[in-house]
Amino acid sequence: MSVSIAYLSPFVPAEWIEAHGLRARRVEAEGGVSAAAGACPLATAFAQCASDRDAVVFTTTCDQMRRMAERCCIDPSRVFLMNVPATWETAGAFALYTAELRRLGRFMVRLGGIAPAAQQLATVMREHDIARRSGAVVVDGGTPVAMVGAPLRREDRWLFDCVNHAGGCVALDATEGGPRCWPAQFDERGMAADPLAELARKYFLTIPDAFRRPDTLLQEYLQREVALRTIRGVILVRYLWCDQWHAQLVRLKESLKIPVIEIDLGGQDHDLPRIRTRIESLIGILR
Amino acid sequence: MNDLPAQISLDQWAERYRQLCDGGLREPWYGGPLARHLADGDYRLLRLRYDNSAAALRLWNFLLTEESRLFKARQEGKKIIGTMKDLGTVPIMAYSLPNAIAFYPDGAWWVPCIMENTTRDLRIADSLGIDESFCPVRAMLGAFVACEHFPQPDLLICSVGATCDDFSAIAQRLASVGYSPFWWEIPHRRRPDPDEPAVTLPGGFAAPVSQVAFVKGELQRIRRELSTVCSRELTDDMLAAGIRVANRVRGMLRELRQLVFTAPRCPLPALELLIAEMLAIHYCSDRGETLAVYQDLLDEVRRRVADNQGLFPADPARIFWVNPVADLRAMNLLEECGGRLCGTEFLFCHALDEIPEDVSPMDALAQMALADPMVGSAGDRAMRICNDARRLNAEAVLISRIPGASHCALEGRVIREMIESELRLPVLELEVPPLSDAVGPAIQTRMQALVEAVRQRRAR
Repeated sequence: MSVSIAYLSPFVPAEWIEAHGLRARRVEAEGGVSAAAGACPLATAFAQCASDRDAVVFTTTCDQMRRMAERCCIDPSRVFLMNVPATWETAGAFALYTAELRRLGRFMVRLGGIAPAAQQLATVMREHDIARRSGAVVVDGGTPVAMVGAPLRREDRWLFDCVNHAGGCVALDATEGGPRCWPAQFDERGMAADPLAELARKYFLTIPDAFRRPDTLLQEYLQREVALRTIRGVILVRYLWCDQWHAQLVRLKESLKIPVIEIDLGGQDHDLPRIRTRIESLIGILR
Repeated sequence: MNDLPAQISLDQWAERYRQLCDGGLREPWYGGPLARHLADGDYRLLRLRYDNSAAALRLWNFLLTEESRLFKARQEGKKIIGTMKDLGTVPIMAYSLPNAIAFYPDGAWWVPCIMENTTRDLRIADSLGIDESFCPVRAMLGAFVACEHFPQPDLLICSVGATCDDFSAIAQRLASVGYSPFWWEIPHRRRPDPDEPAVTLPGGFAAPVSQVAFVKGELQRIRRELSTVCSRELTDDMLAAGIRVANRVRGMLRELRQLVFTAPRCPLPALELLIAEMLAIHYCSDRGETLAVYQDLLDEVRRRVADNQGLFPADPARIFWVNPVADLRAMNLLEECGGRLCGTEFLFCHALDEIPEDVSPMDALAQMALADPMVGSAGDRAMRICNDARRLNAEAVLISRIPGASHCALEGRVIREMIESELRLPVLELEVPPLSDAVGPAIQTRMQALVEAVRQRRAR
């Protein structure tokens, strides 16, 4: 059985892992509530869930995840901390991201992977592209709202049901792991010329996120998608202590000019009724 | 005139100032009685205790007049460069230009403390969604929007990447209200892979050559921007001269720290040492005057050490302090509880290490930037703290957590575990808010417990 690589960040291309003959496993984290005060519940949960995998890739996309790489209970030689630059508008930042992909490749070779030929990588990229484009979710009925923010843990999936029960529908899933974090479609000419460069371009230059500086990709994406899907309200999900998404709250209210509520995840179970009430209130107001 | 070292209150400084003047005190243009800063709203001064030397008076006056110095520089036609987060690197570049002056808007994080929350900075930050769940550096956002505490910079340069999320988020919020930071990337410093070309950085950390090259590229972008804004080419020769001055500043501070940490009797209080260390980051907006302030402090401390004079009567517990405090009063509190500083790591040790002069200036600055303890692993930082604490014969370590700071929760734990396992020293972790009066008794009790633990260990 091939080695399984656990990761969470959308800036870790599954195509690159699979092209090396390894299994890419995006972890749907669970738990993490018992995180120490100030420690991100998601980063804690990811480190816990990843600890029984063959190897794990953390990224530097947030301070807590960067530091959690040191706390993961796994042989350090099987932990890879990938530098994903926060800046993205310079050639240097792009070159750094590409160099980090190559370094990740060498890490995977040490784990038993095989450096892929260009054609092989291009084939895997095409397969992923097709899978992503065929997975569009049709939503109808209910007040259209957007779910924006951090990746959801397994136990947070009930938020979608909660929206539906309240009479709404999540017409835009802009949480991490949703379509927001898909790379743009690969270009055939780019893949023919240099598939790794094309992979890096589409991942690094098109995925919008709160940690990027400047964060204009995220703002433009949300304004475009909110208008396109006639979204009437936004549910911003973030984990306790997450500054990057928390700082977006007032910003989104200003720029989108529709109601925005914030949901703190990773707290105690007794927070759940409060969260449910907040979502029901939002949908009720929008109806 | 009694010149024995002592800690005195602001009220006592009035009489002391008269004595010093009668004794022939000569002050620079920013000199004067300390209490006059109360008129600027610096009410926290009433709650602090100060070293009674003329050198300390000069240090405080220098610190508390930075705002007017910045406005004066603007009037003189100098370019004001706001440098954010990197703590030490970019100011060296800016000061290498004859018509530029650099400061850290980040320094506004002490405004709520110094002015005892009488400004609107935090309320403005709240209104922009940057609430108290963020690090106190959020006061910087309010200061920018209120146009208070510093002039609006001609250029704002902000490092992101391997920095704390609070700061990055606050800087982005600043950008969203009309400011345009020049973003530059500082990557997470990683350990070199086997057989990968590597460099030993100032301070002893190692980094891959490729990372140094990347940071050098980022600094080249800054260099071009500085040259454009200041209408002067920033040459290698100018940078080399700037590095030489920086090393002079750092050399003086190194000697000061060594004397303060190792003298049998403590020759300078913790609060003054903290302020002195802060000067090294950006020279408090006047590089030449920083050298003069250090010279006075060094002369005073050397004299006290030579005369075996010092503060604090009984053999105080030797405490190594990690992280800067949001409330300056906490430094006094340590000494009131029976401790003294024997070492510090205020998050900017890379601004204290000697910068290499045997490589090109841009390589040297890139190495310095990568030596920042914040951009590497918590393990690296903890290792350096352990080494320093061991070298300086620390008897305990105090880690002051910064409220809301994204790095403190995990980093503190890593540092604590390493100190406990490597040095077997007692460690106290505590959170110090910008105004700690409400929790002062709790902080005091915990500091006392730490000091008692040290004394019990001595008795064993």
